[in-house]
Amino acid sequence: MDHSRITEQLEAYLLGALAADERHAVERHLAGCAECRRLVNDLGATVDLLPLALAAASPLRPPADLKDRVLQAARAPSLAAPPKLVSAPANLETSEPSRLSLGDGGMTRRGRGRVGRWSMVTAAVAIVVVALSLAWGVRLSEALDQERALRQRVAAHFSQQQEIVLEVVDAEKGTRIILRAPEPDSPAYGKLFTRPDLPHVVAMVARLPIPPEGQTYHLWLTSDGRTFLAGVLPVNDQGFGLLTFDADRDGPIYEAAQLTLQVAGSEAPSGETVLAWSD
Amino acid sequence: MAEPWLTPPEPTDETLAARVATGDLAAFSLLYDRYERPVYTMAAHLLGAAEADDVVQEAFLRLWRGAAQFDESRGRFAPWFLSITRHEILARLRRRTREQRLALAEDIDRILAATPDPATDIEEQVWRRERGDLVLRALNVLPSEQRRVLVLSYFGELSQAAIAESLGWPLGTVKKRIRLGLQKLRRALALPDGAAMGNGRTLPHGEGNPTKSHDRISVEDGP
Repeated sequence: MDHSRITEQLEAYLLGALAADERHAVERHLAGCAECRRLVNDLGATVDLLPLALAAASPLRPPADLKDRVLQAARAPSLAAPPKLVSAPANLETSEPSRLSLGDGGMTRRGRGRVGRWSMVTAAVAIVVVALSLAWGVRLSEALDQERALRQRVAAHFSQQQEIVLEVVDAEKGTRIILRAPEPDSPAYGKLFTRPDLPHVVAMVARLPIPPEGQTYHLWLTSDGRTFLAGVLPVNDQGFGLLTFDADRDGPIYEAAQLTLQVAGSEAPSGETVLAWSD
Repeated sequence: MAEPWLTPPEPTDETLAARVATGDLAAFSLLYDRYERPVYTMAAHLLGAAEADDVVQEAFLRLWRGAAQFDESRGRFAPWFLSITRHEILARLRRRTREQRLALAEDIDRILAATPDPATDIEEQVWRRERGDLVLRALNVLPSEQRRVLVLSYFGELSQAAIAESLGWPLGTVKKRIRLGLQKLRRALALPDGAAMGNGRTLPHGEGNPTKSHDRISVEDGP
């Protein structure tokens, strides 16, 4: 089949929308046509971003503990050591052993100031920046300006707590604690984020029932054997609440966290425990 | 990949994948955070929630063991990983009839066309703004018929002929919409003025200036 006829089918080929005989014809052509292979690579990178759109639009959510299960499995002896086929490139700063705390990464980054400043900008943006740069010859400084503008727009979504939230939730070295409801069937959960180089703490809860009149959700944390009130979490009509506060030191470590439903002004946890976590 | 603008602003997916290949569990954890949602939602919509858990575990354990197979010189991580994952999901989906696959993919198309619920998880909010919203906005630049054929073939693994028959559209029309739709999506993901990066019309709270596009893209007969 001739070249122009094939090029008309490359989009359908990438989507898997060709009949078997058409697909084989395209594959035979691709084997000998560098131009079509380039087109397929180029378009293919677009096609397989569709799951990202679905993830952004979908109301379905992965279970909160799925990551823990996957990491557990990865750490199991039979899987713990993937083949070390390549030595890391010399420019990767990986000499420090990897650490893992409660499911978040422990890679070195702070100190590489140029890199750290852009922590909010991800590969998805980088893809676009790269595409922009290649297609329109945008210089590096302009690309970085665009990234900064994007960061600001992103941050603008998070009211007055935005900077802290982004710094902590998006941290590579951060820790994340998942609070669960005592009843296994409850959809409610909470997350507590800290990072080792800052005192900021971010707590969020989701899918909680609206509290009865006169009661509020209280977050209690235990550190060095002492339990204290971290704050009260107002929840919106979707049962979502957010709380940020500063601990008395960088990288606070907690032994237990507990969310209770009780009247305001209490000095100690007294009401029903809605969510809990302990070390 | 040594050009200055390719210097990653943070560990890129590609850098992380290289570290995963050396057994770096922290890098694996970060890549997991970036890709759990697309893998899970694609699987959950097509196969159901219970099987989606299995798909996520399999996909990421395969990545943990086989990240060395990723070759950065041949393309970026996202399409590589998501393409493999999609094929795994579609292999499971072949137990379903064409009508069932059509119905599942039509559901996905409706979800993509609707305004998403606001995220209630803080990590999800960050993820969406960083990654998902970008592609979703680009996809919704397409006329709805074009989006629909892309979605039916990509998520439902329906051939052009099957789509034509199911929707009662002429085969030539389906072919044209697939071509135009994918080309337009590619352009929408590479707008020169950053419109696809954060100024789009679907941002919640309505902030951000509507951007005049220099591109030929316009919403002609979109949703």
